[in-house]
Amino acid sequence: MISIIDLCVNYKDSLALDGISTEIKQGELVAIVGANGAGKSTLLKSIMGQLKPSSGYIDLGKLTPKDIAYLPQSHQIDRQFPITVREFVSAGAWQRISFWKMFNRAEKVLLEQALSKVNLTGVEDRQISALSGGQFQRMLFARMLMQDADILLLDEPFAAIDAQTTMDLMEVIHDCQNQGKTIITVIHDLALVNRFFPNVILLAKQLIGSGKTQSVMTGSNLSKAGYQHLAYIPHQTQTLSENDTSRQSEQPDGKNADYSQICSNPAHYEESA
Amino acid sequence: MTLTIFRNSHLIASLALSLGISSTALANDKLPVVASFSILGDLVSQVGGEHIDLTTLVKANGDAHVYSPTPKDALAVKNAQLLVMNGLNFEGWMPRFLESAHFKGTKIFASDGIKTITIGDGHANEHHEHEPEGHDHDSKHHEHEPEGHDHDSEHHEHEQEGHDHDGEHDEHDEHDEHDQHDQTGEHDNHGNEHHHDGVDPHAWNSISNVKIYIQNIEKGLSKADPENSQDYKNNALAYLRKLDQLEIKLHAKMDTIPQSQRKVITAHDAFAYFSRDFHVEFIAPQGTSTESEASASDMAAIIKQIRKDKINAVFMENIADNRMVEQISRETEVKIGGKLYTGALSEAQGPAASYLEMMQYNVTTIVSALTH
Amino acid sequence: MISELYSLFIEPFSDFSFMQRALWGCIVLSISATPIGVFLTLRKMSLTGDAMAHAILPGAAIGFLVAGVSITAMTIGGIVAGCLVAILAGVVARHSNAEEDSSLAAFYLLSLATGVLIISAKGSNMDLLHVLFGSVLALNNDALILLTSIATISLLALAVLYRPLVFECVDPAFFRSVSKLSSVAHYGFLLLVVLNLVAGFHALGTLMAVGLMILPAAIARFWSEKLGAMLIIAFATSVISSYFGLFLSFHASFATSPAIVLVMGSIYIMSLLFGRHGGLLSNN
Repeated sequence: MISIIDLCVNYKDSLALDGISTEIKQGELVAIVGANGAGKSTLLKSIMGQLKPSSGYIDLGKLTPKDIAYLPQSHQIDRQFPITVREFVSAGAWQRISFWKMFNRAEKVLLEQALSKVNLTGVEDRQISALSGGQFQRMLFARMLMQDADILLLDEPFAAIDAQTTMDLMEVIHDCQNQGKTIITVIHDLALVNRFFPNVILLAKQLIGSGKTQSVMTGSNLSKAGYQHLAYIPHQTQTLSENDTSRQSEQPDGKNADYSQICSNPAHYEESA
Repeated sequence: MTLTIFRNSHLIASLALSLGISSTALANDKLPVVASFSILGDLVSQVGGEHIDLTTLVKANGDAHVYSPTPKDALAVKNAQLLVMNGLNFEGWMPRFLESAHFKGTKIFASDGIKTITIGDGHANEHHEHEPEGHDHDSKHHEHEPEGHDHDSEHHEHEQEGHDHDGEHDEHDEHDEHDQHDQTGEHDNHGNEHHHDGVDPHAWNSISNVKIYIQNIEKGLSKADPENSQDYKNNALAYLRKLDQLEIKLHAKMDTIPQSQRKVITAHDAFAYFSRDFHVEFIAPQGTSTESEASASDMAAIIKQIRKDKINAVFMENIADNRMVEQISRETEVKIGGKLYTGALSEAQGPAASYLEMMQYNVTTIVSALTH
Repeated sequence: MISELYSLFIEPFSDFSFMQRALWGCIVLSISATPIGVFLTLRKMSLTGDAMAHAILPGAAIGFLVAGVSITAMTIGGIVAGCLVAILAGVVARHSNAEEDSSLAAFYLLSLATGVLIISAKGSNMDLLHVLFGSVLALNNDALILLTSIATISLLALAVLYRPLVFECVDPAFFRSVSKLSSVAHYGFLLLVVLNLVAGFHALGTLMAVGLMILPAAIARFWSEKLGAMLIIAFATSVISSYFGLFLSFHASFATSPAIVLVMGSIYIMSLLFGRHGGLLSNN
């Protein structure tokens, strides 16, 4: 279990996270949600241990940073670098083989399995610059799988990819959850969150709410978090007028329509054990 | 306020100093003499002794080809009654300087009456082709010049005018044809001593010439200061005797090397008269410039030359050349000689502090380089 | 015919040991400098290489002032100066609003000015620079030993650092999450850059030192997309250019270093036009 206690983190002279306290139980599938600048990536990096808290702390229990796999935002990756898919994915084995051990049979098997899970078998020897956006993202997932870690931290894994790939990768995430891994994901797409993520942490530098998605993602919470436009989701037109009035009344009380009601498909996911 | 006081006192001090200097000169009754460069300075002091008050313009280790006179120099010249120059257009900067310094005394040219050598004609300079067409040595040395470094001492163009200057030269010719050689900025150590039009001025590298120098100097001093002319004559005689002895000694030394082996590569082009006296062949290195980067063909040319002519020693002291010279030496087993003094004396503690020492040093150095 | 070809292409080297040394020196330096150059260009740090070259000057100058014409002193001085500038630039970038490239520029200019000041205060500036910057035609044994040692060290270091370096280039954020070697790789690499520049300067002069690093790498990018192939192409280009540069210097009297770099430059232009990947006139 990961406990976050009164965490404050500074980032470049300004406060990025202000007094976050929450828990993430083992095996949970959690989405971290918030507007731009809410501190989502900062929280992930703090859990990783890459950012030091200015006050408060994060307790990883029996786990060490070695047990955590981190999938950073993909825009920092140099896609033009002359490296093959195989080489790229093998970076996931780093913590086991470092820079001197040979890439042995066992590792090769893991690599093949990882690639097949994301449907990338057959492109091992292609340059990463030749991959499509969807393939690239799958490759990142494969690397993460290679790491074989207990905790997975993903930072906007579905940015700029098509719906099919998104679904496929969500499958992979579910598989991981079934294996008992704890998965924490920063995600922008609220519809996705509501469909697939049982738990959510809603941030706006401070903690707006954390826990079951249904209870956290209320209209008032969302507006506190800076989301003003949610009432205008196109396919929810029938409930628009209701939301209109509730929004205009500016009353941050729990009587406002639940986001889960707005969404046409109630979440279908399994409660983790 | 302080600045004005400072400036004023500065002014007063220098005024006092100059008055002091000129009055001392007059008061002591010593003949104020100016010599153009260190070698001449030594010779003049040998003859003049205590009767003269000597100022040398281009001091030890200086380069007389591109000298920029200082205000102190101007003052000395202004007060001088006798000026001793080398002549043969060696001091190209002198005529203009004399004018601006309002020199009112007598000028003598130490080299009057010597048997001159013309450049381009005669022995040592035969191999002196500087192929200006092939290389553009004006180009920057290090293409990378970030250092803000003064590379403005361009490679002097060696103008090989084809004309022959026959015997008669008007040694008193002070025309400023050669002002173009006035360069600002640092002149590189050596190697690029520019040629004067026609006649080789480096006459002092021959002892027999210097004997004539001494006579000219004595005549000049005696004329300017007849009172002490007997002393001047005695001094001159004594020194001439020393020169005789030195000449014998040095020839003996040189004779230990068979004449066929007396071949040396040097970038110095000041050895024509030395070469005539001592029968040493001074060969210019093919193509290499001391400044800009050499090409492989330059290196190859020297090496071929050394191999073909069986040259035994190389004298090149510019640091840029050192490593190349080492490489040449490695490849041809030619010996690397030390430093040679050709246009100035060394500092007092150095090996060539006087003319006699300088000649001795040069000969010894060359001989030891040629000895196996 | 054969004998003509022989005298044209082989004889300059068989007849003259300085030509052999020159070629050997170039080959040796190419072994370490070209792979480093490839990584520099991949990391988009080519100009950094150039800036570091300037940063090294005062260090080498101080080394000379302290210990005279001592390769060790100047090498150490150069290395210290180079590393100092690299580290300072990185530190400043990390802790202030300045970006790395502008702070690097600021520091290298500062160190360059310091170097010039030191040199001109000491006087005979020409001598010093000639001592600091060698010539490919005058590789004495010390210089060859320096080149060979640095090449060996670099090769070993690159072999060890290869994986971390590649990963750190491709996805630094990820790599930092799995390894503490990230800064080791980064600074270790910079150290290699400095080492090779210092060796290059001393043996071959500034133009060649930087040129050998950057140009072959830039050329290789036009012909291959695979890292391994790039490394080989870069090395081969460097060796071939060295040979033909020396060839031109011998037969056409060109100054040697510029000749070598110009050959590289022409190959670059050809690659720019006709290169298989990204060439202006090719189908890519």
